[in-house]
Amino acid sequence: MKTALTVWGKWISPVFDSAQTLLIVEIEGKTIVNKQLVPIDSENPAALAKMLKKQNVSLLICGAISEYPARVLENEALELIPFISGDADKVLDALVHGHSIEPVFLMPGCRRGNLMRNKTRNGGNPPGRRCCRKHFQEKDS
Amino acid sequence: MVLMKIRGVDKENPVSTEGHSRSITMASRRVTSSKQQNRVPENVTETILESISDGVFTINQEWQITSFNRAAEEITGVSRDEAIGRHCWEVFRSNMCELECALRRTMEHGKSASSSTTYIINSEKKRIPISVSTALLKDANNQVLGGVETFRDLSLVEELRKELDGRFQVGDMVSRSSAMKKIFTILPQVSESDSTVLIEGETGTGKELLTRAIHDLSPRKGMPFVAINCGALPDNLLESELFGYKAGAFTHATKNKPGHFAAAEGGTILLDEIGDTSSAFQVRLLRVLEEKEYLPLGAVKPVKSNVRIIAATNRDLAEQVRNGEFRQDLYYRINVVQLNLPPLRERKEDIPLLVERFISRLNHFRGKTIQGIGEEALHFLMAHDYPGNIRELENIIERAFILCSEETIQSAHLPIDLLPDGFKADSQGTLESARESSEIQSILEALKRNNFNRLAAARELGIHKSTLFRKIKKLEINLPEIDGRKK
Repeated sequence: MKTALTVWGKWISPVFDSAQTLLIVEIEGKTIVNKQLVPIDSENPAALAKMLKKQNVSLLICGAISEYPARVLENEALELIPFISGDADKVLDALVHGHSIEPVFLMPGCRRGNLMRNKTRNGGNPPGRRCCRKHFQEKDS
Repeated sequence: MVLMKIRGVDKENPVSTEGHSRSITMASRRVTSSKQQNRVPENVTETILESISDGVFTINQEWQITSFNRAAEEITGVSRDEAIGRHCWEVFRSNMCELECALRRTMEHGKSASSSTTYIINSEKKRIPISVSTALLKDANNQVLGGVETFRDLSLVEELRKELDGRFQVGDMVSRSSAMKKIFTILPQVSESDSTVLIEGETGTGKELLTRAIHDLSPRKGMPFVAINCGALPDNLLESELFGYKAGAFTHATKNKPGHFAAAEGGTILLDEIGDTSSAFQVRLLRVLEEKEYLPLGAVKPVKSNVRIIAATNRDLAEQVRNGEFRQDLYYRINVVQLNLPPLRERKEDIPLLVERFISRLNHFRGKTIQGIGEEALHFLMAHDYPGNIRELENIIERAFILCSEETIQSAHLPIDLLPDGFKADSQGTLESARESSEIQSILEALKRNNFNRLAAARELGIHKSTLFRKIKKLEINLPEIDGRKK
């Protein structure tokens, strides 16, 4: 499974719309087997979504994101966990160990209820909204 | 001289560097007794900060928020309790945070800064336009405690500006043309109706944007929106993509796969380039429209469908019906409401507006501050016919953005195809003179290095001495009296 995070130094990038760097990690079981930093052009979310699909990235974790890029990414059936903040390594650690990213790393002022409104292109709540523990249990089984 | 008490001020340690610091002293205590009499009481300062409509927050040197006024709560949608102690970028969430942070500039250079072109993103994913100004916070001993950022919500100003512009806007579409105004006027009723819509328009006129606007104005808003380019897929693949398939339907179909109709259930689907589909596919689509159900590949039981269909094409569908290229029954079924998007050459009054919009968007994304476009360059843009419509104009501006290092986009930044013949010749002339200047420079430098010995300079330049003499004469290079041959 590959996961991408928009990063700014050690932190999750505060705003996806102006993010410059993407950290793509490959997770096998509960181990990160590969990490790659990629410069991105966040003004072109369609190209970014295609690049992520090409690299088999299924989950994107980012900071605040506006409607348009969120829509483009979700239309490409990417799982999106937006409005996440904090130390990227800690977020990854929580993800790898199946701990819930929300609400611990959720940006202030963002409740899960707000984010539950986001639908994937396929309808319903995107899997990214699920507890990561559940996500990984499903992957493991 | 202000002392701002935020919460439980620790007068010995006004700014805690620990997380969740609760207080900050914003001013000097070096106040003489006479001045102390005139000092504004702490609670008054707090009241003033709470009463103003500009958002104000302060940070310590660890970039943690130490105070957050009421207006800041309202503009960002973050409560004071949640904001205090958090890093400012987690709360403020501006496009400037990562690269262009005004507070960082202020903290590094000690100077106040301001910016009028920025935005923050609230938890509803809305961009809120704001203006920002920043300043340093110092204590009585002139020691830097942190910074203060004041920001103003410009949403209302932006709305008023748009109204004054006389522009019409629906979703991401913007126009001043009367043809587009007609479409925008009926769009709410069309969206509300749930009828099938046919959108005709040349490539690049914004058919998908219009469909998205219809979806967003309709009761189906919040449900999925799916756009498919029917012309991009072969017939069999298109059918399996749209309707899905069952396990065993064909080789390697090992499990059920839902199609785009299932993905769009409850929402809207755009079938772009509908005029490019085969007659067999048109029959299947007709069934979906009439029966509100479809049959996935390999299935024996039809699936009920609740999806609004919007069809779009860059071809004349009525003409295709007359030529027998498109089924008449399907044409009448999808042509309940028809919207014709005019090409850009028929609404050139929109070009300045669109250019302004593209520049503004690129400024945001690229971190540039290009102010606009020069009069001559705009004149050339207005004279072009745009076979690629708005998409072509957008690409032209994006190209100009790459080349432009000045305040405004000029004719030289436009593709040469857009420039009239005379202008092209001028451009060539400019290149010629640049080449000549470069040659003069090279010859003079070679001569100087060789003490003005012509033969040695010609050798160094890799040309024959007679070529050098010819060039000196042609380029009218004035040589000094000195001659390398003379001692």
